[in-house]
Amino acid sequence: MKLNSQILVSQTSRLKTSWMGIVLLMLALPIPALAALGGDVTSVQKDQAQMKGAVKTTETPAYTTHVITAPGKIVVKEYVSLTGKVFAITWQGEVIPSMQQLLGTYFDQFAQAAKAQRESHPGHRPVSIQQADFVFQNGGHMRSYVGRAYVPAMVPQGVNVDALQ
Amino acid sequence: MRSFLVLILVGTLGFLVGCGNNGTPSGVAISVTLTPSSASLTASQSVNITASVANDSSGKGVSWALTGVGALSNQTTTGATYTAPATVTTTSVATVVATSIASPTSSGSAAITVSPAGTTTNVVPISVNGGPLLTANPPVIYTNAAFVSVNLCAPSGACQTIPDILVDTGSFGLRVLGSELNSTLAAALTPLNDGNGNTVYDCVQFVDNSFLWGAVAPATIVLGGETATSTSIQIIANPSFSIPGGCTGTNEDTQALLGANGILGVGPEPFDCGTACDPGAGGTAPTVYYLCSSGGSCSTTFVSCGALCNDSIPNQQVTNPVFNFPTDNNGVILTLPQVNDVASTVSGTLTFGIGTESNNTLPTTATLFTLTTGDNFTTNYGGQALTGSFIDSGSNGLFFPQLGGSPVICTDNADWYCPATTTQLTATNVDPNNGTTSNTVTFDVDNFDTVTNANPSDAAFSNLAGPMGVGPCSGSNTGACAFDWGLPFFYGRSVFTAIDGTTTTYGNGPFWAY
Repeated sequence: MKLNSQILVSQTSRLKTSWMGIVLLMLALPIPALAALGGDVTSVQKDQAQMKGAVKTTETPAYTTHVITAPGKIVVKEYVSLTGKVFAITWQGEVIPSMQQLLGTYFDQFAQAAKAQRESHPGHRPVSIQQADFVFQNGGHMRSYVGRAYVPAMVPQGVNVDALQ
Repeated sequence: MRSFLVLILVGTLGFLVGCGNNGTPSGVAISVTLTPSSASLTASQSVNITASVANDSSGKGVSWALTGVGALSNQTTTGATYTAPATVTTTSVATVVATSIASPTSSGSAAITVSPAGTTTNVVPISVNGGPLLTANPPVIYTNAAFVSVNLCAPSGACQTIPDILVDTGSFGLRVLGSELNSTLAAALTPLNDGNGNTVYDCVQFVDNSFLWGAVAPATIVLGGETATSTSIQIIANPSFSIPGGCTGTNEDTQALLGANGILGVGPEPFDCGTACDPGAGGTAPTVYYLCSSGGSCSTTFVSCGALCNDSIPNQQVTNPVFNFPTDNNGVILTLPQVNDVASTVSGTLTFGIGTESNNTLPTTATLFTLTTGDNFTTNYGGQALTGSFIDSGSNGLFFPQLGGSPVICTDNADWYCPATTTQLTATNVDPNNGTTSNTVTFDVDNFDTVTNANPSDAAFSNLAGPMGVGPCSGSNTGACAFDWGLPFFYGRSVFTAIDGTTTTYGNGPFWAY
């Protein structure tokens, strides 16, 4: 069977003139191979490519939302602060998206906490992680998963992370 | 002479060691396993049960006891015959227990569903009994999990009864550890392939960074008197090649890691992926089904789900076996007895079909909840509407958001609640489509650490709960917008699960009713 790997991009993010300098500085910095949470805005495109999805971007005064739709009816929303950091990610879908891709450098914290949970008692249960620098939850059932992750220190002033749509 | 004395001494010491530890050397416990461990009979039918006793150095075997209807005969230290009564007016579960004579604290049991004569045997027994790891070394107890035996056959006819399969209303399809198949069945099950030497594999990712990976093969599945033919199952196994991304974390391909011999997904869907994995979806296939060459090069692929997916190619996705029964195929009823806080084991039934036989009608007192496209309903809890709620026998507790720091989360186990004292809470389930049909549930939450430490050998706990995220539910895009009614919800209830794409006399699936 042929694998259809067409990638669709409907809209690219617009840069605010006043932040151009900071964005150019960001682009000059080394970009991690894996991306998203805690990463910079270019990591969003890496996630989109890995997930073979389409991305649509919306701007609000406090942050920019990149919505990636991917096979398996997956919708991932990556919230980028005005300083260009992905401070929160939410997801829902029939299939769980790649946590390795989405959590970037925070994947190890997730993997360790999940492993401890699994090894303490048998059985599959929702995962809920509350660490000072990493908050994560994921739950649901086959064909209906919902979760989110965010870095408290990166959430912009005045943004209620619990209200992110 | 001297050597003779030595022999006597050794023999005596052996005897003393034996006595001191109930007939076995210390550290090697006697365990009793019955075959079959479950059966479904109608009136007057019989089944021969054999007991195998591990580490029974004295060879004393077992003695037998029966609770429930019927009678035992032909009892020996290795076997017995169970016969159902001649007159059976209502379905019940009888339990046959074999106790080691050398070690009276070691026993094994078999659960037998007895149904009235002339009925299709649409009921199988289920047990919340701590699971197969109880006989592991060291033993591990899998609490709040209901296990069933499945008779799995290759299309060619070779069959094997596989016990200790988790009953899961939160997933769809039968998944069995390849390591548990005998060589005949393993050789007879032929995985799907594309005709070019590429095999179809299935990836099931769980939220806790674990997964199931394995080939998809058509099989015949027999549960009680119900048979599903040409039904794709997943054979869980670690392949000789690298598993592609889409399945990350821990591969639960052994009994030790999975805690069971497999999972019987009997939730409200016929297929484990549905239209998203059907070729009609177009674009790129999701990370569920793969075509892998014999050299281990895998790529995602679509697999048809047949007519229900508007596909002329017959369904080959991993399928809820109930959906493929010739009758009694529109859902299941999971029934478990009341548990007042803790019970060592409880037995119940898994009944096939809703409104198709005299034993699967929906009571007029029941509440029926139609579901969203994601198979969820709404639970009003803590002043919020949790719109992603569901009933899941495969979750071994109740899981709901922590609000305002309550209930307190255990410091040692962040996936469970540890309130200082047992706390009573209420939540109201609401039909998401009509917004009015509702039912209020009152439940208790124990301190997980206290109650499990105090009852380390018990399998059923009615008051175990844990966090489904922390903080309020806003919109639909956080993990804290769901109430997961896990196995404790089933204690003292009959929960009806109707399958999407089927009809019942009470309305079309999918729905939950209790």
